[in-house]
Amino acid sequence: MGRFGASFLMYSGVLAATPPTVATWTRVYDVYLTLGVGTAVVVISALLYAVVRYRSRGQKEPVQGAKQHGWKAVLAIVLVMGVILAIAGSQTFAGFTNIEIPNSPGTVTVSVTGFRWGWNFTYPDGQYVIGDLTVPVNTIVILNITSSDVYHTFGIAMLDVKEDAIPGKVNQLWFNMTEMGNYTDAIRCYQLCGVGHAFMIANLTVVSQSQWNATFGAQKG
Amino acid sequence: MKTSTIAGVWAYMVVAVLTETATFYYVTNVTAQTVVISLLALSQATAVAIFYMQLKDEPGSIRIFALVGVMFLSALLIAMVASLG
Amino acid sequence: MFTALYFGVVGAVLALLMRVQLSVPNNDFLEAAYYNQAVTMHGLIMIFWFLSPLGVALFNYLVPLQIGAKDLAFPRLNALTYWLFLAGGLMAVLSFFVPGGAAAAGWTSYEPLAGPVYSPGPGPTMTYLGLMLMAASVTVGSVNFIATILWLRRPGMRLSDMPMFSWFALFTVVAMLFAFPSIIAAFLLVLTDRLIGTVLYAPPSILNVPGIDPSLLWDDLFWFFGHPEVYIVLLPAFGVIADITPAFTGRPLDGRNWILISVAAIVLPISFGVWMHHMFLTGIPNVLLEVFDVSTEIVSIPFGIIVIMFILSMVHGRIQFKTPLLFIVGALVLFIIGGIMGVFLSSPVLDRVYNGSYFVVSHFHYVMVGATIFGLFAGIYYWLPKMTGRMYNESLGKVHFIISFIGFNVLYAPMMLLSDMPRRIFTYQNIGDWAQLNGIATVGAFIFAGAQIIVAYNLLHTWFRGPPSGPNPWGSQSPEWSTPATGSVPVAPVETEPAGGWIGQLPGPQSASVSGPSPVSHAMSAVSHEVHLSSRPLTLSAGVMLFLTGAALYPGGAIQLSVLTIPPGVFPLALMVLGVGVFAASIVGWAWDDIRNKFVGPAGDPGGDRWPYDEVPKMKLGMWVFLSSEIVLFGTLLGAYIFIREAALEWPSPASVHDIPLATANTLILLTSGFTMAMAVYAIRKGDQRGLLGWLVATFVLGSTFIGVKISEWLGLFSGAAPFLPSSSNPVTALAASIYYVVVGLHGAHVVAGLVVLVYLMKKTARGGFTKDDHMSIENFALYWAFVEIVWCFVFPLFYLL
Ligand code: HEM
Ligand SMILES: [Cu+2]
Ligand SMILES: [Cu+2]
Repeated sequence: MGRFGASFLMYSGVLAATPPTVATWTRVYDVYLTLGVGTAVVVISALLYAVVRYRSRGQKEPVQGAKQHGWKAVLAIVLVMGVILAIAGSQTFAGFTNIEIPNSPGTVTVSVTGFRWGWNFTYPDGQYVIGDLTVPVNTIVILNITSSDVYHTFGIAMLDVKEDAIPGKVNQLWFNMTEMGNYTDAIRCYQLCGVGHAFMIANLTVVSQSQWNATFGAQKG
Repeated sequence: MKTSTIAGVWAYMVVAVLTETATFYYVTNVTAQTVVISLLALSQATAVAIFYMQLKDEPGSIRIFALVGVMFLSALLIAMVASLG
Repeated sequence: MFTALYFGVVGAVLALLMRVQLSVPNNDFLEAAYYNQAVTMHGLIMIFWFLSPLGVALFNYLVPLQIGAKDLAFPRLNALTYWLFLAGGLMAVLSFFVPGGAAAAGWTSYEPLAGPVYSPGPGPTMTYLGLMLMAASVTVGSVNFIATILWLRRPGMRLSDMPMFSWFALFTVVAMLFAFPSIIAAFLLVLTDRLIGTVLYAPPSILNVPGIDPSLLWDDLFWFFGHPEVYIVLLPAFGVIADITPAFTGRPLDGRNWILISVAAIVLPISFGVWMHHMFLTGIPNVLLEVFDVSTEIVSIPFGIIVIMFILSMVHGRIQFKTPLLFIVGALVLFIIGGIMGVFLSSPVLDRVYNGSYFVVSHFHYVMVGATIFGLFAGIYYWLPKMTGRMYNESLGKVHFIISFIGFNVLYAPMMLLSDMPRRIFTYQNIGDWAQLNGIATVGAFIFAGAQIIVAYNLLHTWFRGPPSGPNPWGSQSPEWSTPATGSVPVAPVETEPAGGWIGQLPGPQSASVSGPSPVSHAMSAVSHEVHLSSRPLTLSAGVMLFLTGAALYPGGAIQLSVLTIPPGVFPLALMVLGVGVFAASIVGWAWDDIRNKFVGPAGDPGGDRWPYDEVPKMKLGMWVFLSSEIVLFGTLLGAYIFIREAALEWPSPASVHDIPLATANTLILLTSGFTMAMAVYAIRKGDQRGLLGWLVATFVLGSTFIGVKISEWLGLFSGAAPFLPSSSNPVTALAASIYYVVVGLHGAHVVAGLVVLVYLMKKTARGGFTKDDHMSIENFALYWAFVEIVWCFVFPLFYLL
């Protein structure tokens, strides 16, 4: 099922292989969308049907003896909703792989610090760059995100990942980018942080593993 | 309520406070200290609520207001501390 | 009610300004700073000064009518509720014109952005002080409503007989009672940071204590309030739907009791157990993500039951397509859509996309504007004939509905698709489909706003020119229609038949003798008519407002008046002094009225059905309700303290700061005053007036001693070898001192307030004002005093020993 939203429109043609976080997100989303739209259609149609079907044809008097539903109807609602929600919830739980930080060899870690108003990326070799996150392709990248002043939220819409950048706390997220390229303005702040909030943007650059290792990879000794 | 109850509660409060302070000075194990002092504080609060505020004589319909407040607070406290991770 | 509508217009104008700004990319109609103020104040005003009060205004008008009470339980408190609310609103709106501008950190006021470092100036302080006044007003109001509904029902009306709207009113105010104290606590800490210089939410650049995390503390405190608040906003609208649907379907509600059980489940346990779904990205442990995912899913089940029951209530009816019914259907459709979006948001995985995006904006407008406003519109149309005695124009009503519904969806549906656009950005580049979607939304906003001109015209026209509606135009059996319609068209009172009760709302045999409260003033505003009897609530609120405005502005800059220059600080100080003066005068006046029994409430004790509260006097019930909110207030503050303690990796040892033996002695003094107060109650229960006076004096002396010792202790802390101050250069000390002074200070303030009341009680006792059978004030004060004692039972060990 299709994805709504600009990020999809923006990059769908660009990426040949779907990044894992996007695949997981979309899988969960598809289930929610099916169930959600299905429920909405059924319930809203039922409402509209009832309203139209039982419209007054001139009667003014109260109807006598209309049916009252009791605990059986309630139980049915609880069960049906319970099943729907359980299916949805289990998908979410399965999708927690998007949130849990993978513990596998060969990952690279970059530190991200939000500040008013920009993003500072510090690489393993100690150098830092403002406004541009460069990562190796087909590698699990872990970001350690924090803030040096107020509450920000670091989000890469095209990868379906987002995490708060909070002063005094380090939060982590991970992704794995499948295509090299320059993705302008792919990174944004999603938490009101002052007058510069709208411009708290950064680019995502994806390069080959060897090129990345050569530029940023040297562990600071 | 009888005067003896009122005085009895007061006596208990005095003893409890003195015990708290004594625990502070003489019990060095931090966990033990925290547990003892917290329990004493809870018992004091309960005593005041039950006797001076006469919850024991009030109908359940009154007690429920106090209970609901305390219930929500416990939820808040537990989750808040848990959110520190 | 008009006041709420007025604030509604202010909020709407702000919203339109924002939509204009966002209509095309890279617009520069509003600057970022103004945009942020607009977005913040729009949220605050719409939620706190428009939606909630509109519901409460309806409660104020209808609940007494529906339950057959002459008025609310405490008429003067009702007036106080209104004036505090208005004063708070004025402060918030005026803050636009004050240096620093209105608050601009979002209605969620995330810290540390909302703190003094990143939002400097008196403007935001004023907004937040206004918010505090509003919160105080809500607390007073909910105590009043709860006491009214539990205690003033007309004879023969059991709780279970109450009309649905009154039931929903009860649930709403109960939720308010427990939710608002935590926002008071949260903003108290913001305000002490801003006014006194504590560092409770200070960012690491100011206060670097390892482990401390001000944002998370704020999130917890705010959302513990914030989530229940969204239901507080919604429930009045659902109450309207539940109450008036039968008038248009010609059949009773289906599953009335199940609806009530579901609401009870939502209000009491569940709504206070889902707040962390607003914090899915804050890095809380994964188990909490899972727990709050599930709890949020669970909260949708009772909503499902309610909605399905509403739908079933249409089946087998004879539905009349009048304007209110259209709005009911509209509200339900929009709620279903918005609620299902909420389930998407309950997934911490999906929330990785939605959080902070326009999808959330779309969600909550579907539920808050869609479900809530449409539901309230249904109620306004429906009860308009009751309030004015005149009928609105049906075709205009229908046109209003159709245009609103279309405009609403054109406005908010595009936002569903903007799940990658951050909310609260004042401008954007031309990316993807953002420009088109935002353009459409702005068009929708103007359609929606245009529709509201129709309703404004329709309401005014009805009010002055509408055709007489007759006393019961809908043929409803609900009790409020059994009294004459109010307003300008005289109508003959009708005798109602004790009808067959097919709505399940038995008017009861006595209903014909029930008279409604003085109607005109009720219809004109949320003010009870009792306001005419006492101006104290008004002056009291005005005093508080003056004082707080002065405090916010202090010290401010110099003021240049043609010839003379007023140096900085003088004007705010004058305001503060004036405020204190007015406040003190009102309080003294209020007490003096009481001592001389000048204020005579509406005819004594009307008697009535008050199960399960027949044993409990009205004042005592009110006191307990109030104390339960105080439990949450102090509990939240102590919770904040425990949170900080748990987070901080180091903390000054108590013995190094405090004089423990002195504190122990002082604790004993306070506890002993609890004993003397209990003895005072004991004395007067036996009718011993002299004994009462003696014990009261003893309590007063002990209480004053406690405060005296406290003051000397604090002076020592200020000036000691290593002063224990929030401004201390050692960050840990600064933090410890901050939380210590706020919590202990608030407790001290409660003691001082208690001492003031004691003066009044002693005075009244000396005049023989209390007897064996008439000493409710003493009993209530004893409750209060015991509560203050309980708080200290926790404060002492937590701050001095552990
Ligand atoms: C089925 C019921 C509902 C569910 C499952 C639900 C769920 C959620 C969730 C998970 C969020 C957090 C989204 C985020 O910030 O990422 C949210 C936000 C919000 N919800 Fe709901 N919701 C429901 C009903 C309502 C109702 C009835 C209202 C109000 C009348 C409401 C008002 C709001 C508001 C105001 C926010 C946004 C707060 C902010 O960040 O400014 N919700 N909802
Ligand atoms: Cu930002
Ligand atoms: Cu919520």
